[in-house]
Amino acid sequence: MVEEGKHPSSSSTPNQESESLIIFPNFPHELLIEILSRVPVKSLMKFKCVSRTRLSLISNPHFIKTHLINSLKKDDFGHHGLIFTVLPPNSDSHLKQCSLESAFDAAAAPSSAEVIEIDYPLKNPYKSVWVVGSCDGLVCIAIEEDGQFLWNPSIRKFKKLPDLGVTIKRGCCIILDLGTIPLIMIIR
Amino acid sequence: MASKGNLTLKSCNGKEFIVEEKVAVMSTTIKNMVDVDDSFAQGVIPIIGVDGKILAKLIEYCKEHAEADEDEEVKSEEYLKKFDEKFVDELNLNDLYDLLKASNYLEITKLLNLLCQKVASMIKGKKPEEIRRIFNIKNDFTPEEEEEINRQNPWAF
Repeated sequence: MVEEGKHPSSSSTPNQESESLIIFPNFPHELLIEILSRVPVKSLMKFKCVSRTRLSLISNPHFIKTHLINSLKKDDFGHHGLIFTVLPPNSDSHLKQCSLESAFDAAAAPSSAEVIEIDYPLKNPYKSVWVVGSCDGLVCIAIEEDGQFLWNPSIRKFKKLPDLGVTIKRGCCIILDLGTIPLIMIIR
Repeated sequence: MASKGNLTLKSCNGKEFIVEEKVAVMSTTIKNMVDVDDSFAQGVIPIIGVDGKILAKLIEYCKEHAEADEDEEVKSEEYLKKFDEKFVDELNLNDLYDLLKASNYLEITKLLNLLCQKVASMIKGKKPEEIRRIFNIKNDFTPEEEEEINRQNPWAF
């Protein structure tokens, strides 16, 4: 049943035209979830400090999954990106990122790709870093001497994976499955 | 009364619309009503809580999409994309709000997706205090808690 509710309103002050505000006072909860699951991650992070209820809403695993599904459904590739490993000797060790859109454009005009350097957990140019695998926006990286990390570049959070008791050398760590149960294999 | 293959939809303020069944059943809610109870297909289907103006907009949208589903050559994907863009751009806030609630109630998935995406793009880049005003949300954090959350995600602000 459609609830009778107050209508939204719009207000703007002459000095702050761009700040004109849309007001939706009475959104049903299920619609709010539908809408928020379509908001890009960066904007969504601001919702974390809107209120306690919103924080719990967007931290909820069900919401996170809905958000992921909606991001994958988009056909403009705006949310998709590529992460590259850059290794010595020609450069310091680091990771670079470029949007999938930009990579596609680059196929037509190679100089147009916008590749930028990104921050990663425990960034240190003197230690090799490489991407081990990725799934659903989570990236597993390995850093020389420091071990392996599960990293979500969108929200810039990471977790160190348990110490496997072996020294990992560049390229010797592959992920078999990040989908349900992470399973990591070391190849010597 | 509607002729065969047509359904009569009645808005909450008494406006009646005769529409082709294929258009009306873009709404899962109406489809379920018609499937379960044959008398709906013969008589008038009341659309509770949706007024004539909004119902007309819903029908306009469903008509385009139902026709496109039937014949892709006449209404191509590109045509529909342009139609969708124009459709949401021309809505004022009241209509956007009413249509969102109505398409949710009537389960018109494509339209619901389109409208949710529109509101999502309106929220994009807004500050927390603006978001609170938009959705009429009370800030229940203590200043210390708020500072802590801001500290954790400085890059988002």
